[in-house]
Amino acid sequence: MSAHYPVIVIGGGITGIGILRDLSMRGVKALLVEQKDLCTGTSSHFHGLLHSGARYAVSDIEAAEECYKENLILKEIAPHAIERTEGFFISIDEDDPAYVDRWVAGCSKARIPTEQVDIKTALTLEPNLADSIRAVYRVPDSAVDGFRLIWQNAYSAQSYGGAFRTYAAVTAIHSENGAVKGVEITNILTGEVEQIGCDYLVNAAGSWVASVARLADIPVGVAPDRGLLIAFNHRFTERVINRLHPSGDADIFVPHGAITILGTTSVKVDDPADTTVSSKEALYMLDIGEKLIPELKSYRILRGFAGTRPLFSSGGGRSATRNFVVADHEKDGLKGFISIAGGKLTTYRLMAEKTTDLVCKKMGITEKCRTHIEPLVKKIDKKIYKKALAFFPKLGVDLSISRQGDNFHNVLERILADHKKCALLCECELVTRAEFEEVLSRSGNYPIEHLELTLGTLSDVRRRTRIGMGTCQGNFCAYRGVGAIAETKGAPDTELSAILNKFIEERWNGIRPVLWGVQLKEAELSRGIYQTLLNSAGEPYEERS
Amino acid sequence: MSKQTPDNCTACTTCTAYCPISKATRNFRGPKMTGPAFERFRYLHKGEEDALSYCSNCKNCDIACPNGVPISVFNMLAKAETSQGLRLFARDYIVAHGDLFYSFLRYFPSFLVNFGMLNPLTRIFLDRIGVARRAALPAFCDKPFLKRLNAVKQPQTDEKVIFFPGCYVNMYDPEAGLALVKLLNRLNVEVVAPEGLVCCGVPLISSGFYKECKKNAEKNLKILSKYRGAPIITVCPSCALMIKHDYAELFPEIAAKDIKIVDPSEFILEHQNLKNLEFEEESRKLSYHSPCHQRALGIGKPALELMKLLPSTAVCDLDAGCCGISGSYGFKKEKYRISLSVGKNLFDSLKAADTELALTECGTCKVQITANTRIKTVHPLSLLAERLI
Ligand SMILES: Cc1cc2nc3c(=O)[nH]c(=O)nc-3n(C[C@H](O)[C@H](O)[C@H](O)COP(=O)(O)OP(=O)(O)OC[C@H]3O[C@@H](n4cnc5c(N)ncnc54)[C@H](O)[C@@H]3O)c2cc1C
Ligand code: SF4
Ligand code: SF4
Repeated sequence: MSAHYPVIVIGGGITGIGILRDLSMRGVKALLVEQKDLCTGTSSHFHGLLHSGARYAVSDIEAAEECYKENLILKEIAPHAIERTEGFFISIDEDDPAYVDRWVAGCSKARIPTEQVDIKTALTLEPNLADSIRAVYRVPDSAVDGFRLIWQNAYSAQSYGGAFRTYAAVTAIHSENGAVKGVEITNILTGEVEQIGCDYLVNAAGSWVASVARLADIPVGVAPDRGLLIAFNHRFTERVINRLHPSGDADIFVPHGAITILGTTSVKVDDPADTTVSSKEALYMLDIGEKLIPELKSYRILRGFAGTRPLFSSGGGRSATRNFVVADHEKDGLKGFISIAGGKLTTYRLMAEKTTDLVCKKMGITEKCRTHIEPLVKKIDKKIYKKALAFFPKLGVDLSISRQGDNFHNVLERILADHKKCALLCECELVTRAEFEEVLSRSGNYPIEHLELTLGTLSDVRRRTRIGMGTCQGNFCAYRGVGAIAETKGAPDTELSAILNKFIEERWNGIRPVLWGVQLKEAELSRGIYQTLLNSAGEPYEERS
Repeated sequence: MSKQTPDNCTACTTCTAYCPISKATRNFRGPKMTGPAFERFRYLHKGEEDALSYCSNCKNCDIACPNGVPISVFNMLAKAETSQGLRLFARDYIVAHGDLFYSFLRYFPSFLVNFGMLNPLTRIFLDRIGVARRAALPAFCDKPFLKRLNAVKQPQTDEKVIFFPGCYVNMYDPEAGLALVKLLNRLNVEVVAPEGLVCCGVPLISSGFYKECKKNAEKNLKILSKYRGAPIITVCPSCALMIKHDYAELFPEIAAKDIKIVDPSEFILEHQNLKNLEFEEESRKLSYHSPCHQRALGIGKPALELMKLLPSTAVCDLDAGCCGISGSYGFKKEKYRISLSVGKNLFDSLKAADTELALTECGTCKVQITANTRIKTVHPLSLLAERLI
């Protein structure tokens, strides 16, 4: 074994990273391993609704209460990852009016505040809603960004001594005398294999929980359930918009910064990595969404994407609530192995708390959980904020701080050292070259050959900055980004082309299923730039005769 | 029609390449950023792109955009949303409300008024509140257009056009309006100038006075829609553009459908009595500058066609871009230098063409050109009326 940690956490989604932070804050030395990059699983392929709980007010009161409590906590501790949008629940003609009363009663039972809004006011506040809406209620829903939430948790965990490794898949679990001894991790970029020892192993692999537990021959009942999401180019509502009916498909709109996301669907799948998007499913969603937002089909779609819910189905131990399960596999014959299954992003902190409580109890550590009171990002110094205003519009400062949190001052340092670095590398999401370089300097855990780069470098930066996620879907930031990489890291051309092509291909993947309207024009522009001008396909040069 | 979305923008950046202000100053991030890109964030209510005030509303971005994105309209609506800052408020109020000041001042003889406006002490005062001391300001005329029109004996015929004078003709350059009347009368067309028309609102919206601009639009549309079907003519391309396109985009809720704005040059060229017009030769060397808002109308350069009616007279089409003044933009102290650097290409081209008389439809372009080249500049119709036999 090349190293040993008291605790290893598997899975760099919100659940795993939440656990890493909680453990680190309680003084437990832990390593998190993630098979790809942080936030590449369901936590980045989800809707981004910080539930008020109202959606579960009729079907599952306990989950509703849990969501509301966590909603209030997260708004306080993660203000940089959350937009306090509030939400509307809206009933339309075809919805059962009797359901409204049951729902109002459910909310009040779960102590979720609701307030009826008259139709005229609702239409003034949200002019893009259909005139035909029949009843509107206000709830404390919000929008939450998975990327920011994960990175802020990760940096905070690091500041408490927590460590994480990316592109490191757990490929075997070692045990001795019925107790966990360590794991085998494989670098998925280089194929390198390494053994790391541990006393406790926490399986927080989301939809992959069952496949990880299988490495230790332990059955866990998690059935992946795929949901489709559609991202639109602009924000057409100020708040979250829900249909007030028994939860169904395509009945929620969540605004995030400059975009809007419509979701979702529910399809059982065998493979947790099955995130196929079909045009048919997208069109089906638009048909439903149009009932609330009549102009919906005229709005431009940026991309379609899907994630798999880690739905807890059965087995595996004691149920903490019906929402999620912390399973102690000592009962299944393997000491020191714990799985956490089910849940939602909204309840990640609570899930992490319960899991960490169990680990600490086993380790005999009495330190109490503080994640419900300690903010993820320290307060940004007013002076730094003021200084930054000389280089950014206010919105630019706010966005950059929300993405980089405590590291924002490094971004500013880079600009102060060279003013040219405040040029926008990504104009759609307002990312400066300084921010790009700051993130670049911290990404890429596994070097390929002599470089600190990976094929996925641009995507790694994307997840930490949102480059490539706006209107142009990478058309302009991709080549600029590669230029910045070349200048700062001095990589050879062939590798730079490979990085560029990989990034563009990834962007196109999400666009192909929704390739119509203006997005088709955008794709043509993209094809013109990359395949024609830059010859990204590498067609050989032919001498004209 | 509902509010325009930024969805048609493919982020191609053509508009920024064509924006004269982006070219002149790095402080302006360009139309793509202030227009469609920032529009996506405006629902967040997190403050405005500071560079917005640099946009002069010249509309070259709209002309260049391959996807028909109403960029300048996004900019104007956003300007209206932000407070302009109290320090410059007085200045912006004055340059945006030339019509109001005129209605005060017209009770004084124009030479006194102009002395008051243009003397060095006044200019120091204006400079303090933000009107560039060196910028050439237009001089008020003696008698407003409408008064002078009443004195013209027009033919009594069935064919009538409705004339929209606009502030520039009414307050500063009645000659251009009277030239149109003279030419149209010769075609046996009567020019009707309805009472109560007010400033079209371009200077208001360019300085962020949305509510007042809308009021003006309402007033004008109410009057103009009484003349449904009759051609409405203005000799100012900015007024034409505002009434023809921008009213509907800025204020979709009050848009009037059947208002027919016709370009004066086109109207004359297509008229059945065109043969009534005969002109004498013009011996001076002529150059024509097509104002940005004329080009934004998307009807080419009909004035150049019209000038062909002058026998054996050549007109050089300068095709040298924006003059930099953009209505009241170039009067503003902090924009004055930018305005000169935008116009430099045009000024140089005029000089290189050995121009003796410059022609352009736009009133403030005229002021800018003359101030920076000392070349006399008139409306093409004024020259034609002068040469009419
Ligand atoms: C369509 C959809 C919409 C949703 N909308 C919402 C919503 O609006 N609000 C809300 O609160 N919740 C929502 N959810 C639920 C929420 O997204 C998930 O509950 C949450 O993101 C799960 O986080 P996680 O960390 O458990 O899983 P993940 O984010 O999937 O993380 C698990 C990680 O484990 C890694 N991993 C797997 N196997 C291995 C291995 N062998 N070695 C190393 N690493 C491994 C994976 O790569 C992955 O990154 C939605 C879910 C879906 C599918
Ligand atoms: S209106 Fe003129 S100044 Fe304003 S953005 Fe467009 S081109 Fe630039
Ligand atoms: S507004 Fe038009 S010209 Fe400008 S970037 Fe967008 S599509 Fe291109």
